[in-house]
Amino acid sequence: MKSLEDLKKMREEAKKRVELREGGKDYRVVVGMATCGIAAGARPVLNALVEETARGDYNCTITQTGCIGMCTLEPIVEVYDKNGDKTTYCHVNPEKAVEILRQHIKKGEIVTQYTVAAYQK
Amino acid sequence: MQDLAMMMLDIANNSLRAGAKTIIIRLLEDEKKDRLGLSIEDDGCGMDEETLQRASDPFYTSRTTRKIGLGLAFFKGLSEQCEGNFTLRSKPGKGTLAAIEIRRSHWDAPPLGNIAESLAALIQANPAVNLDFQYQKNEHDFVFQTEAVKQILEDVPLNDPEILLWLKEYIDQQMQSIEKEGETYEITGRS
Repeated sequence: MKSLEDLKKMREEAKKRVELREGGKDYRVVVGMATCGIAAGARPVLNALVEETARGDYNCTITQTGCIGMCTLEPIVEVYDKNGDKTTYCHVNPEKAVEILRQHIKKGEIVTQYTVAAYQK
Repeated sequence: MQDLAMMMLDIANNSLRAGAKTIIIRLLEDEKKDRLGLSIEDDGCGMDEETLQRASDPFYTSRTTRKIGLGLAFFKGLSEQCEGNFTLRSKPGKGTLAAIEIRRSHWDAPPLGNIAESLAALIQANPAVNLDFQYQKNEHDFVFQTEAVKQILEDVPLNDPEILLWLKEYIDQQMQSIEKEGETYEITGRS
Protein backbone atom coordinates (compact mmCIF):
# COMPACT_ATOMS: atom_id res chain seq x y z
CA MET A 1 0.00 0.00 0.00
CA LYS A 2 1.38 3.39 -1.03
CA SER A 3 1.53 6.23 1.48
CA LEU A 4 2.13 9.93 0.90
CA GLU A 5 5.39 9.49 2.82
CA ASP A 6 6.74 7.53 -0.14
CA LEU A 7 6.45 10.69 -2.20
CA LYS A 8 9.26 12.24 -0.16
CA LYS A 9 11.57 9.51 -1.43
CA MET A 10 10.54 10.23 -4.99
CA ARG A 11 11.04 13.97 -4.59
CA GLU A 12 14.82 14.23 -5.01
CA GLU A 13 14.89 12.05 -8.05
CA ALA A 14 11.96 13.93 -9.53
CA LYS A 15 13.80 17.23 -8.97
CA LYS A 16 16.79 16.02 -10.94
CA ARG A 17 14.54 14.73 -13.66
CA VAL A 18 12.64 18.00 -13.90
CA GLU A 19 15.91 19.96 -14.16
CA LEU A 20 17.03 17.67 -16.96
CA ARG A 21 13.76 18.15 -18.73
CA GLU A 22 13.79 21.92 -18.38
CA GLY A 23 14.13 23.92 -21.51
CA GLY A 24 11.99 24.06 -24.60
CA LYS A 25 10.30 21.00 -25.97
CA ASP A 26 10.10 20.34 -29.67
CA TYR A 27 6.53 19.09 -29.57
CA ARG A 28 3.31 19.87 -27.80
CA VAL A 29 0.74 17.09 -27.66
CA VAL A 30 -2.79 18.32 -26.95
CA VAL A 31 -5.77 16.16 -25.98
CA GLY A 32 -9.34 17.43 -26.44
CA MET A 33 -10.99 17.01 -23.04
CA ALA A 34 -14.45 18.55 -23.34
CA THR A 35 -17.72 16.64 -22.85
CA CYS A 36 -17.46 15.20 -26.38
CA GLY A 37 -13.87 14.09 -25.86
CA ILE A 38 -14.48 12.55 -22.44
CA ALA A 39 -17.57 10.68 -23.62
CA ALA A 40 -15.63 9.30 -26.60
CA GLY A 41 -12.75 8.05 -24.43
CA ALA A 42 -10.23 10.89 -24.25
CA ARG A 43 -9.31 10.21 -20.62
CA PRO A 44 -7.72 6.79 -21.23
CA VAL A 45 -5.91 8.38 -24.19
CA LEU A 46 -4.49 11.10 -21.95
CA ASN A 47 -3.55 8.44 -19.41
CA ALA A 48 -1.73 6.40 -22.05
CA LEU A 49 0.20 9.49 -23.17
CA VAL A 50 1.21 10.29 -19.58
CA GLU A 51 2.21 6.67 -18.92
CA GLU A 52 4.29 6.44 -22.06
CA THR A 53 6.06 9.75 -21.44
CA ALA A 54 6.81 8.64 -17.87
CA ARG A 55 8.45 5.49 -19.22
CA GLY A 56 10.47 6.88 -22.08
CA ASP A 57 12.21 10.16 -22.70
CA TYR A 58 10.02 12.12 -25.08
CA ASN A 59 10.71 15.62 -26.33
CA CYS A 60 7.17 16.86 -25.76
CA THR A 61 4.73 18.25 -23.26
CA ILE A 62 1.24 16.82 -22.82
CA THR A 63 -1.57 19.32 -22.37
CA GLN A 64 -5.36 19.38 -22.51
CA THR A 65 -7.80 21.62 -24.28
CA GLY A 66 -11.55 21.98 -24.60
CA CYS A 67 -13.70 21.20 -27.60
CA ILE A 68 -11.84 21.40 -30.90
CA GLY A 69 -15.09 21.67 -32.86
CA MET A 70 -15.12 18.26 -34.53
CA CYS A 71 -17.01 16.33 -31.84
CA THR A 72 -17.75 13.30 -34.04
CA LEU A 73 -14.03 12.74 -34.57
CA GLU A 74 -13.14 12.58 -30.88
CA PRO A 75 -10.94 11.52 -29.19
CA ILE A 76 -8.73 14.06 -30.96
CA VAL A 77 -5.02 14.53 -30.34
CA GLU A 78 -3.18 17.47 -31.87
CA VAL A 79 0.58 17.56 -32.25
CA TYR A 80 2.26 20.95 -32.63
CA ASP A 81 5.87 21.02 -33.71
CA LYS A 82 8.29 23.79 -32.77
CA ASN A 83 7.33 25.80 -35.86
CA GLY A 84 3.72 25.77 -34.71
CA ASP A 85 2.63 23.40 -37.48
CA LYS A 86 -0.24 21.21 -36.39
CA THR A 87 -1.11 17.60 -37.11
CA THR A 88 -4.61 16.50 -36.05
CA TYR A 89 -5.23 12.85 -35.21
CA CYS A 90 -8.79 11.60 -34.79
CA HIS A 91 -10.56 8.57 -33.29
CA VAL A 92 -7.48 8.05 -31.15
CA ASN A 93 -7.39 5.23 -28.61
CA PRO A 94 -4.66 4.41 -26.04
CA GLU A 95 -2.81 2.13 -28.48
CA LYS A 96 -2.84 4.70 -31.27
CA ALA A 97 -1.73 7.38 -28.78
CA VAL A 98 1.37 5.39 -27.89
CA GLU A 99 2.07 4.78 -31.57
CA ILE A 100 1.81 8.53 -32.25
CA LEU A 101 4.38 9.21 -29.52
CA ARG A 102 6.77 6.53 -30.76
CA GLN A 103 6.58 7.46 -34.41
CA HIS A 104 5.75 11.17 -34.54
CA ILE A 105 7.53 12.49 -31.44
CA LYS A 106 10.44 10.04 -31.35
CA LYS A 107 11.14 9.77 -35.08
CA GLY A 108 9.49 12.89 -36.44
CA GLU A 109 7.31 10.87 -38.81
CA ILE A 110 3.61 11.70 -39.01
CA VAL A 111 1.34 8.65 -38.53
CA THR A 112 -0.56 9.49 -41.69
CA GLN A 113 -3.28 6.86 -41.44
CA TYR A 114 -4.62 8.28 -38.14
CA THR A 115 -4.87 11.90 -39.27
CA VAL A 116 -8.14 13.72 -39.93
CA ALA A 117 -7.00 14.23 -43.54
CA ALA A 118 -6.73 10.47 -44.03
CA TYR A 119 -10.07 9.88 -42.32
CA GLN A 120 -11.92 12.39 -44.47
CA LYS A 121 -10.63 10.95 -47.74
CA MET B 1 -21.04 9.21 -20.39
CA GLN B 2 -20.46 5.68 -19.21
CA ASP B 3 -19.71 6.33 -15.57
CA LEU B 4 -19.67 8.81 -12.71
CA ALA B 5 -15.92 9.39 -12.93
CA MET B 6 -16.27 10.77 -16.44
CA MET B 7 -19.07 13.10 -15.37
CA MET B 8 -16.99 14.24 -12.42
CA LEU B 9 -14.11 15.09 -14.76
CA ASP B 10 -16.42 16.87 -17.18
CA ILE B 11 -18.13 19.03 -14.54
CA ALA B 12 -14.82 19.80 -12.82
CA ASN B 13 -13.46 20.90 -16.20
CA ASN B 14 -16.13 23.63 -16.10
CA SER B 15 -14.57 24.74 -12.81
CA LEU B 16 -11.14 24.88 -14.42
CA ARG B 17 -12.53 26.98 -17.24
CA ALA B 18 -14.14 29.26 -14.67
CA GLY B 19 -10.66 29.98 -13.32
CA ALA B 20 -11.14 28.19 -9.99
CA LYS B 21 -8.26 28.14 -7.52
CA THR B 22 -9.85 25.41 -5.44
CA ILE B 23 -12.17 22.60 -6.47
CA ILE B 24 -13.91 20.59 -3.78
CA ILE B 25 -15.24 17.21 -4.85
CA ARG B 26 -17.33 14.99 -2.60
CA LEU B 27 -18.35 11.47 -3.52
CA LEU B 28 -20.61 9.74 -1.08
CA GLU B 29 -22.01 6.24 -1.01
CA ASP B 30 -24.48 5.34 1.68
CA GLU B 31 -25.77 1.81 1.41
CA LYS B 32 -28.17 2.03 4.33
CA LYS B 33 -29.94 5.03 2.87
CA ASP B 34 -29.33 3.72 -0.65
CA ARG B 35 -27.94 7.06 -1.79
CA LEU B 36 -25.07 8.01 -4.03
CA GLY B 37 -23.97 11.64 -4.08
CA LEU B 38 -21.48 13.61 -6.09
CA SER B 39 -20.82 17.30 -5.67
CA ILE B 40 -18.33 19.62 -7.33
CA GLU B 41 -17.80 23.04 -5.82
CA ASP B 42 -15.43 25.73 -7.02
CA ASP B 43 -14.37 29.29 -6.33
CA GLY B 44 -14.34 30.23 -10.00
CA CYS B 45 -16.01 33.15 -11.74
CA GLY B 46 -19.54 31.87 -11.13
CA MET B 47 -22.65 32.62 -13.18
CA ASP B 48 -25.28 35.31 -13.08
CA GLU B 49 -28.94 34.41 -12.56
CA GLU B 50 -29.76 34.28 -16.27
CA THR B 51 -26.82 32.04 -17.17
CA LEU B 52 -27.59 29.83 -14.19
CA GLN B 53 -31.15 29.31 -15.39
CA ARG B 54 -29.93 28.16 -18.79
CA ALA B 55 -26.78 26.28 -17.74
CA SER B 56 -28.31 22.79 -17.71
CA ASP B 57 -30.16 23.37 -20.98
CA PRO B 58 -28.38 21.20 -23.59
CA PHE B 59 -28.86 23.92 -26.20
CA TYR B 60 -27.02 26.49 -24.15
CA THR B 61 -23.25 26.88 -23.88
CA SER B 62 -20.87 29.69 -23.03
CA ARG B 63 -18.40 28.52 -25.62
CA THR B 64 -18.23 29.56 -29.25
CA THR B 65 -16.89 26.43 -30.96
CA ARG B 66 -20.33 24.79 -30.98
CA LYS B 67 -23.91 25.53 -30.06
CA ILE B 68 -24.63 22.82 -27.52
CA GLY B 69 -23.40 22.20 -24.00
CA LEU B 70 -24.12 18.76 -22.62
CA GLY B 71 -22.04 18.50 -19.46
CA LEU B 72 -24.51 19.85 -16.92
CA ALA B 73 -27.44 18.56 -19.00
CA PHE B 74 -26.11 15.00 -18.66
CA PHE B 75 -25.49 15.52 -14.95
CA LYS B 76 -29.04 16.76 -14.37
CA GLY B 77 -30.45 14.07 -16.64
CA LEU B 78 -28.78 11.36 -14.61
CA SER B 79 -30.41 12.61 -11.42
CA GLU B 80 -33.83 12.62 -13.08
CA GLN B 81 -33.24 9.12 -14.38
CA CYS B 82 -32.28 7.66 -10.99
CA GLU B 83 -34.85 9.05 -8.57
CA GLY B 84 -32.45 11.71 -7.50
CA ASN B 85 -32.12 15.43 -7.27
CA PHE B 86 -29.91 18.00 -8.90
CA THR B 87 -28.55 21.18 -7.34
CA LEU B 88 -26.89 24.02 -9.17
CA ARG B 89 -25.98 27.12 -7.22
CA SER B 90 -23.76 29.94 -8.34
CA LYS B 91 -22.80 33.50 -7.53
CA PRO B 92 -20.83 35.73 -9.87
CA GLY B 93 -17.34 36.21 -8.49
CA LYS B 94 -17.88 33.60 -5.77
CA GLY B 95 -18.12 30.24 -7.46
CA THR B 96 -20.41 27.40 -8.39
CA LEU B 97 -21.75 24.23 -6.83
CA ALA B 98 -23.10 21.40 -8.96
CA ALA B 99 -24.37 18.31 -7.19
CA ILE B 100 -26.51 15.25 -7.68
CA GLU B 101 -27.84 12.68 -5.29
CA ILE B 102 -29.37 9.54 -6.73
CA ARG B 103 -30.72 6.18 -5.63
CA ARG B 104 -27.63 4.00 -5.51
CA SER B 105 -29.38 0.76 -6.41
CA HIS B 106 -31.35 2.26 -9.29
CA TRP B 107 -31.23 0.37 -12.59
CA ASP B 108 -29.79 3.37 -14.35
CA ALA B 109 -27.28 4.34 -11.65
CA PRO B 110 -23.87 4.35 -13.35
CA PRO B 111 -20.81 2.62 -11.93
CA LEU B 112 -18.26 4.86 -10.21
CA GLY B 113 -15.72 4.21 -12.96
CA ASN B 114 -12.08 5.14 -12.73
CA ILE B 115 -12.13 8.00 -10.23
CA ALA B 116 -8.34 7.96 -9.83
CA GLU B 117 -7.80 8.46 -13.56
CA SER B 118 -10.26 11.36 -13.62
CA LEU B 119 -8.53 13.05 -10.69
CA ALA B 120 -5.15 12.54 -12.36
CA ALA B 121 -6.52 14.12 -15.53
CA LEU B 122 -7.70 17.13 -13.51
CA ILE B 123 -4.31 17.52 -11.85
CA GLN B 124 -2.65 17.18 -15.25
CA ALA B 125 -4.89 19.87 -16.74
CA ASN B 126 -3.89 22.45 -14.16
CA PRO B 127 -1.56 21.43 -11.32
CA ALA B 128 -1.80 24.92 -9.79
CA VAL B 129 -5.42 24.35 -8.80
CA ASN B 130 -5.99 22.94 -5.34
CA LEU B 131 -8.03 19.80 -5.55
CA ASP B 132 -9.82 18.71 -2.42
CA PHE B 133 -11.37 15.28 -2.85
CA GLN B 134 -13.26 13.15 -0.39
CA TYR B 135 -14.71 9.72 -0.98
CA GLN B 136 -16.96 8.33 1.66
CA LYS B 137 -18.47 4.89 1.69
CA ASN B 138 -20.74 4.19 4.63
CA GLU B 139 -18.59 5.03 7.66
CA HIS B 140 -15.21 4.98 5.93
CA ASP B 141 -13.64 7.80 4.08
CA PHE B 142 -10.57 8.80 2.13
CA VAL B 143 -9.40 12.36 1.67
CA PHE B 144 -6.99 13.51 -0.99
CA GLN B 145 -5.79 17.10 -1.12
CA THR B 146 -3.26 18.31 -3.65
CA GLU B 147 -2.18 21.00 -1.19
CA ALA B 148 -0.73 18.32 1.11
CA VAL B 149 1.00 16.68 -1.85
CA LYS B 150 2.49 20.01 -2.94
CA GLN B 151 3.96 20.51 0.53
CA ILE B 152 5.71 17.18 0.31
CA LEU B 153 6.91 17.68 -3.25
CA GLU B 154 8.16 21.24 -2.71
CA ASP B 155 8.96 22.60 -6.18
CA VAL B 156 8.45 19.38 -8.10
CA PRO B 157 5.42 19.89 -10.34
CA LEU B 158 2.42 17.62 -9.82
CA ASN B 159 2.09 17.06 -13.54
CA ASP B 160 5.48 15.43 -13.83
CA PRO B 161 4.42 12.19 -15.57
CA GLU B 162 6.00 9.85 -13.02
CA ILE B 163 4.58 11.76 -10.04
CA LEU B 164 1.18 11.88 -11.74
CA LEU B 165 1.15 8.13 -12.30
CA TRP B 166 2.16 7.52 -8.72
CA LEU B 167 -0.66 9.75 -7.49
CA LYS B 168 -3.16 7.92 -9.69
CA GLU B 169 -2.09 4.55 -8.32
CA TYR B 170 -2.14 5.89 -4.77
CA ILE B 171 -5.69 7.21 -5.12
CA ASP B 172 -6.77 3.97 -6.73
CA GLN B 173 -5.38 1.86 -3.89
CA GLN B 174 -6.96 4.05 -1.22
CA MET B 175 -10.34 4.04 -2.97
CA GLN B 176 -10.28 0.27 -3.27
CA SER B 177 -9.41 -0.20 0.37
CA ILE B 178 -12.29 2.08 1.40
CA GLU B 179 -14.64 0.16 -0.86
CA LYS B 180 -13.50 -3.08 0.80
CA GLU B 181 -13.84 -1.70 4.31
CA GLY B 182 -17.28 -0.51 3.31
CA GLU B 183 -18.17 -4.07 2.34
CA THR B 184 -17.00 -5.43 5.67
CA TYR B 185 -19.24 -2.93 7.32
CA GLU B 186 -22.12 -4.05 5.18
CA ILE B 187 -21.78 -7.66 6.35
CA THR B 188 -21.45 -6.85 10.05
CA GLY B 189 -24.17 -4.26 9.71
CA ARG B 190 -26.65 -6.94 8.71
CA SER B 191 -26.07 -9.26 11.67
